[in-house]
Amino acid sequence: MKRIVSVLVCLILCFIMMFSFTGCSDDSDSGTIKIGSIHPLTGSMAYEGQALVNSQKIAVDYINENGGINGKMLELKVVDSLGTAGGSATAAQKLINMNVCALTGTYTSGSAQVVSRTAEKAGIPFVVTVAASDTLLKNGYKYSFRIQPSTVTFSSNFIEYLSSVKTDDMKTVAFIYEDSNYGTGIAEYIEEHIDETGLEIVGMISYSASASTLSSEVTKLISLDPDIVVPIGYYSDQSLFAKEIIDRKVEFPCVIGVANGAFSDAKFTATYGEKADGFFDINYRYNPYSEETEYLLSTYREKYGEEIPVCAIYGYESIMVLADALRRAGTTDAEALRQALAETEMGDHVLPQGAIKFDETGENINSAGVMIQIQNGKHVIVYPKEYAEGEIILKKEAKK
Amino acid sequence: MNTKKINNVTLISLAVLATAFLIVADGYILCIGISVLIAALLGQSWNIMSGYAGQFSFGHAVFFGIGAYTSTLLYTMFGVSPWIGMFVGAIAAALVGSAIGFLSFRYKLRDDYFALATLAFAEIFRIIFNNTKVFGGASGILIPYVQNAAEFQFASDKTYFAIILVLVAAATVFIAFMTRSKLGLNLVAIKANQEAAAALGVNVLKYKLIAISASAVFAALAGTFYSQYYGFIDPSIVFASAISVEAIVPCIIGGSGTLYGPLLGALLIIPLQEICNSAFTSISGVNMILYGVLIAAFIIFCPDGIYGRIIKFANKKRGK
Repeated sequence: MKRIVSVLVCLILCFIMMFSFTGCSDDSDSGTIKIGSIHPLTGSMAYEGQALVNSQKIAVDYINENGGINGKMLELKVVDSLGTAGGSATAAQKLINMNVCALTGTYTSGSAQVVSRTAEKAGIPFVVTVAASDTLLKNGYKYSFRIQPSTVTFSSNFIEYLSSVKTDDMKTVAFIYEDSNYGTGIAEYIEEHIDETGLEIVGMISYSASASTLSSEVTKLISLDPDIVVPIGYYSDQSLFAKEIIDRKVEFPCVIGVANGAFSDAKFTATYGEKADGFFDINYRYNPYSEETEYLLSTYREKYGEEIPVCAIYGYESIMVLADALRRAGTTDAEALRQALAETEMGDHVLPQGAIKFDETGENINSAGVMIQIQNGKHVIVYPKEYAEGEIILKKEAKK
Repeated sequence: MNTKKINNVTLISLAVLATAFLIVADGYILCIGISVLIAALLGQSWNIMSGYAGQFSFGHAVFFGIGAYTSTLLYTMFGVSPWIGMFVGAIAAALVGSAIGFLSFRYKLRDDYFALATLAFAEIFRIIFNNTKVFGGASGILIPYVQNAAEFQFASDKTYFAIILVLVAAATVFIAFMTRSKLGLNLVAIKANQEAAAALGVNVLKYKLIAISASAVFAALAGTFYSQYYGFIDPSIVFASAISVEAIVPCIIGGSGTLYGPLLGALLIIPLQEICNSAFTSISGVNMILYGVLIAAFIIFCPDGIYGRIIKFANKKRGK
């Protein structure tokens, strides 16, 4: 009896110890300004999550090397979100416990929703690095801000930019998109506004992002014979799609991705090279004519030995926007910082857009994507004109 | 020392721990405490159906998701308070559970095949909800942030902690009563040998369906709690296989088919996950490896789980 009781008591003590251990936070050096970063560092999105954190670190180092914020150094506190909503909420709590002055994150929209609520409850600013869902800022929250374009922005960019490639004999369009929040959101928005383009939709083909092949979807797409194909998805599934049409040597007159995780990625052009020539994508990207971009690109290459994945530019920019607000606020007080963020008007940045400025919901009102085309195995910005690095090349004439 | 005495000692220890926690904990620690209790509730739910009745489920996310979606849709579309929606969700989950059970057992699916069927059902539900626009589709549903106790929203996480604690206690009390009743005995008989139980006059189908329904009720309550606590659900969150796994792991670690096993399992596994997470921030993935190794180790060296082992140990001593 005694033995059993002591075993149980030991167990309980162990649990208490574990709890107190998890509670340990290292806020010993209170001389720094801490910013929390919540990204998936494990699981299927770990590559992008790590890239976002890497570029945030570049921004933090840059600021610290140039004297910090009003004499104080910045410190990035990184916590793995595990790629889940619950994990992100716990991570947010943990960072709040470490006395961070703001949160950044989270790469997926579900996680961003949960973190924005946690931030609102705690009354601490949350700057979204990447999360495109249109509904994210529709909650009336005061503490959430987003720099990147939402799905609606990308979709309306598509409708606007399309005119630059569409010829009069292009009449039909088909969509092939992944079926979660993100692919569906974009496809459905464009579907609703298709009248503005004068095109007729001949197919809406959805698939699961975890699919191991898109063979039957592509067969269906070929049978529909559209003039314009619009693929929307993440890196791995859209690579499958591209591989399928490259291998089968299918030539659609025009392939325009929207926020396509593969087409805009450096890994993609490294894999397919000139075979992927002609593909368009409307997506986020850096402004090639900003000096800051050159710094970010070369530093990333030096430090991490590869080209920066495009999503990661928002990691860098999130820190820059926060630093700017912190400077103006002159304090880490949450309310003052929120106010400063809301008043942001930042002209110098790496994005292909006008000044970064937030509306009352926290959305970056000037956010915009650009249209890139793969030419000679390289990404070339072709639209809008002020950021263009080259001319549009139409692969072949649309059939009569 | 018999099982009953061990149970009593455990009950007192856990009660003391929970009360102390409720008074002392705050912020991040409280958040982990709540995660522990959600895992414990899912674990107890799984325990009823799989631990006691032996009907292995890989798809507990179905019930969790139905609970979450029912209460949330009732709230956002018709303004029904989640306090009521939570019980509607529980009933809906019980009905779906019975339907899944009936279909599976009708076609004589057993053991591994039944487990695979539950996995398939979870995936089917995820796809249905993902593609039904009325239910919010893939974009999910956001619960408006109102902080009104009548609408199951509270300013303090302590209130959430207290609520989930009550739910876990309710599940545990249910199991305690169940094991002493005819129902529990029948379930144990079915688990041990279905044919023999049937030969002795146990209505196998009926009791299996009762077990699934009861299990579904608690998983659905966990689902409602989850959606109210985090404020956002989408099909890939609540119908995720990760949820099904979260129901299984506490039982495996703590001891399935034991009264307090899932509670101890959850109490061990969630903080451990957090520790691994904090300790290895520089190398991503180590936390997952450690987690996997631990589960594998438990299955190999301690298949009865912590609590199962304690009970076995005590009974052996008594036998001497």
